[in-house]
Amino acid sequence: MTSSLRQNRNGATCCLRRARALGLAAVLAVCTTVFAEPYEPESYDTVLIRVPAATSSRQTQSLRRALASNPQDLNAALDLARAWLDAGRREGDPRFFSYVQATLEPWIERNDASVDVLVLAATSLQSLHRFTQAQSLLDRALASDPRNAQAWLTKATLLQVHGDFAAARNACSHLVGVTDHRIALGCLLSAQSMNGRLAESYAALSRIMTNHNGLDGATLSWLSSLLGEMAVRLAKDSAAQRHFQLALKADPDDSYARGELADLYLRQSRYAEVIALLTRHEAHDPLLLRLAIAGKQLDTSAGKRWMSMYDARYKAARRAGDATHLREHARYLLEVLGDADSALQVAERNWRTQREPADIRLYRRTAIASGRSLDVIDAWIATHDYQDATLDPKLTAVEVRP
Amino acid sequence: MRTLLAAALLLIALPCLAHKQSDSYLALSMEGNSLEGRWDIALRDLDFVIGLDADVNGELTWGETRRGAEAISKYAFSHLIVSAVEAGNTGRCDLLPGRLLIDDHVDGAYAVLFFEGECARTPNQLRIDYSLLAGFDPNHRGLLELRSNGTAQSHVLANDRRATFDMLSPDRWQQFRSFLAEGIRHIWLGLDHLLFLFTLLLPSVVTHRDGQWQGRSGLRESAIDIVKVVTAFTLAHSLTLSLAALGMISLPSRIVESTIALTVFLGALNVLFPVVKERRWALALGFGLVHGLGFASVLSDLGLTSTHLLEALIGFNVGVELGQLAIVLMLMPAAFLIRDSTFYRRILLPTCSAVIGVLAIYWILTRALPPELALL
Repeated sequence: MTSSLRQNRNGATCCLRRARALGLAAVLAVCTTVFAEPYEPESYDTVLIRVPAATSSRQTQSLRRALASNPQDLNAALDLARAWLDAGRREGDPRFFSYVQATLEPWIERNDASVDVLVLAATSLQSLHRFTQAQSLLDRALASDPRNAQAWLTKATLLQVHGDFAAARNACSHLVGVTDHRIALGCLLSAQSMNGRLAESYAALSRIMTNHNGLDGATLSWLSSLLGEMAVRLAKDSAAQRHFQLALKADPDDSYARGELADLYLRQSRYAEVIALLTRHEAHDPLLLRLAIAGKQLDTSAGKRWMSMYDARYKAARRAGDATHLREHARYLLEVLGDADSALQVAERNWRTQREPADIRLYRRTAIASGRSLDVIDAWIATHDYQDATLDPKLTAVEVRP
Repeated sequence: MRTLLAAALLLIALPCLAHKQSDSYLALSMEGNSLEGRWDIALRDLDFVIGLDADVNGELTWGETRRGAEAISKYAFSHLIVSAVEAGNTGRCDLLPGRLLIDDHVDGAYAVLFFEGECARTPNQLRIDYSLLAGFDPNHRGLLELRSNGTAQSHVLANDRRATFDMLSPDRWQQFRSFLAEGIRHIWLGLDHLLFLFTLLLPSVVTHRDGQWQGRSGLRESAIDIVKVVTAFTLAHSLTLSLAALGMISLPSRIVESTIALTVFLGALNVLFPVVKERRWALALGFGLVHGLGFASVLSDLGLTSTHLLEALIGFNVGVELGQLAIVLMLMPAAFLIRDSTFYRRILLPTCSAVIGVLAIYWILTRALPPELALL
């Protein structure tokens, strides 16, 4: 009797939640489709788009011309591909990663493709979440140059994202002696921290990073973000905040660190700070999502605008079958629309390819919110001895070893 | 106004465009051997390939886009080949570019290319060779929406690939649903049917005594009157709609349309100077016959084919009923609540009827006269 009552109640709340999610979705749909008719601009001077600086810059224009005038010139192709890759990282804009691929395409298929070509192409494919293709290019690169640090680091990152931590550690170990020891150790300790040695990995990396002389901005930002992530999982929030802030100081374009810092603020309900941190980054989908979440909590007109902007992008991505942002889509469904069941479905799809701390949390949270069994995710957490204070605040004090 | 809106929109839209992979949106609709299309391509992509930003200042204006229209059209239509496949024969369809407009998508402004096409034969398959941005963006995709025979299908066209699609004929359920939607749409947009119903229903909550309209005492009486009117109207128009759709009656549409306008006028007149007081259901029944013929001409305009004719007919009819019911449910409770007020009996009822009557006269004049004589 009690169980059927509970079921009924669950059923009712679920429907209510569904209805509310649908209502919100409908309002957002109206907001975003008002201007859906094609039109003729009034004046010839109307500016329709701003061409991205990376495309219109003199540098890329001349690199493009150089390659066009001599399509066989490998170095010209590599220079242009690097310029596109930088632009992609800076702007977080996937079109640039596609340009890398297009630029290198004539060389990738060749048997004697140079290691630089393969690693560059693999990096761009990784950014487009084309993990399998990226992996096979990296393996080709490593077969011809087993001491290529960039290839090993990219491979380790891929393996770690995919949740294969033992293989990631193995890839990291090849970095020892071929690149800066801090990079090698950051790679190793980060992989190791996913398997029960969180506190000790954090302590070791903190010690190493007391000296960060001679590291370039992007590398320092990456290592600081690693520290910040571990600190979050150890419930050391103020230390985590410092690490992420240092990461952003070292490389203000690091959108990953920015997103992690925003998530830290969101967990602490510091919504106004989230907005201050992200307000100029609306173009970047994952950051816009955090704005929408904070905006929903604050219930301001800007918040509504971010929600409808994200909704439009979510719909465009769904229409195109774009699976790059599954993690964000699941979060959107859960935290903005409040549709836990759909969120869980997307989180499950995301879980097939991505197992970073954010993915683990998301999968568990959506399962809890939709009232489903936690067996799969908890078994995975137990097998890997994954530690994370944000998973269940009450248990962590006991679970996390000193 | 449009400029102001557009300018305001630009102010918001320009700095905060999404970053997404490159997609174009291709909508094709095929009827017989001719097709119509709309193709939305990101200006950013077109600029990347053909260099539209002539003064290289990083801002692409409408003027620069207009001047590049020929290059855009030449580039786009040399990267899209549509062929009709029928019984093993393949023939390329000629595509004729039309207007160039602009539309805003989440990642910025897009060029909207309209075009028409003519194929040598009516295809049972359509083959599409899509190569937009080939060599420039290997991850670009074309999102195709293909409409034919009242069905729609969506596909993703990969860059530099050839894809073949069967021209589907609709299944029964699809046919039913799409005509159901058309039915609802028609009753909502077809103002004349609605207003006719209003003239019969607005008096349902009142009764004519001592030379004036007075509120009915109970809900029951009003409800019965509403049910009678709605049922009679439904029976009548269903009958003539079915007969006409099956080809058993056929009247020139000008006569039908102007007679419908006349029924609206008479309905309105009957509120102002009541002749038929309690038996308005009889008006609904008689005049409903003409309205059914009007629905039938809409149905034939929708391209009713003999496949699943019955489903279409039932779907359309059910749609009309549902739309009608929704209006009754929205309108009548309110009318019932205020039925006793002087406002309703003395002001709302006569004013509405007078306005409807005047509108009906306008319709009668414009519909009855042949177009070349129409003065209005």
